[in-house]
Amino acid sequence: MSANVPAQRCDRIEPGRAELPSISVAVPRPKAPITALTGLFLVALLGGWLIAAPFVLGDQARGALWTTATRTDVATGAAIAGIAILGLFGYLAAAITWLARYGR
Amino acid sequence: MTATTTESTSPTAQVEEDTDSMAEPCTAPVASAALPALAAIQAPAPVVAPYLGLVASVLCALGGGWLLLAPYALDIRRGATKVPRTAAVELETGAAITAVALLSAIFFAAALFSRLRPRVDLAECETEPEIETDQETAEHQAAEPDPEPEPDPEPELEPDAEAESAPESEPRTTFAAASNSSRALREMLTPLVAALAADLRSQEQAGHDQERGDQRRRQES
Repeated sequence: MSANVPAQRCDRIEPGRAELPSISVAVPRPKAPITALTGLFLVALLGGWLIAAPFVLGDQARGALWTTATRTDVATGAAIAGIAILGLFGYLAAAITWLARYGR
Repeated sequence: MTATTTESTSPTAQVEEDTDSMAEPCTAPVASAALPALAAIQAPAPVVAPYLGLVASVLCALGGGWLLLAPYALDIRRGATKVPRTAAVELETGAAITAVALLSAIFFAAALFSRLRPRVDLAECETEPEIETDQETAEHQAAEPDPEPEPDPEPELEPDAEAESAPESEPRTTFAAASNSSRALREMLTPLVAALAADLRSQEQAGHDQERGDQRRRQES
C-alpha cells in the first residue's frame, strides 16, 4: 500500500483557512429615516391618546356601558397604536438583521 | 421571508463562498493581493426595514381616515346642531394621525427608493478607500502611472455616434458598473492564476529533481 502513495514532492506548507486574512466586504451603511421613524412613533402616541381620550375627558361615565363613540375610539386607537408599534419593531428587527449579516 | 431568500442568494454570499473555496490552495500574499478587488463588492441595500415602515404608515393613515369618517358613518352627532366633544376629538385626532402617517409614509418611501437606486460608485470604493486631498491625489497619479492602460471599451463607436448618445447616461453608467465589476474580478483572479502556475511549476521542478535523485541512487547501487 505504501508504494502506491506518492511521495511528498514539495516541502512548502500551505496556509490553512484560519491563517488567511479575513475578507472585509465594503458595505455603505445607509442613513436611517429618522423623521419617518419619529412620525411613526408620534402616530403610536396618538393611538394611545385615542384610547384614553373618552375616559380622560369624561365623555364615558365610569361603570356605564360604553357608547358607540367610546368603542370606536378605543378600537381604532388600539389598532393604530398596535400597527405603529409593530412597524417600529419590524423596522428595528430588519435593521438589526441586516447589520448582523453585513455590518462590520 | 422574501428578503431572506433574496439576501441569501445575494452575490456577496456567493463571492464569500467562492473565496473560501479558492483561498485554501493559495498562499497568504496572494489572498491579500486579491483583497482590494473583493472590497469593491458591496452588500445588498437594506430595503426590508423601510418597506415595513412604509406599510405600517399607510395602514395608520387608513385608520386616521376611518376616524375622520366615523362620526358621520356611525351618526355620533344624532342630529345635534353642534358637534359633540367626542366627535370633535375623533375628527381632530384622526386628522393629526392621517397627516403624520402620510408624512412618515412619504419619508419611508423616499428612503426605500434611495436604497433601491443602483449604486455606481464602485470605482471610488475600489481605487480610493480613504479621502485624499487633491495634492496627494496628484502626487499618487504622478508617482504611479497606470502600467496597463485599459483598452477602449467601445472601439467601434464613432465620435458622431458618441455625441448623439450623450443624453442617454443610464446605459453608460450601467456599462461602467459592469466594466468595473469585470475589472475587479480580473484583478482578483490574476494573482490567483499566477500563484497557481508558479505552484505547478515548482511541483514539476521538485518532481524532476526527485526523479534524478532516484536515478542516481539506482546507478550508485
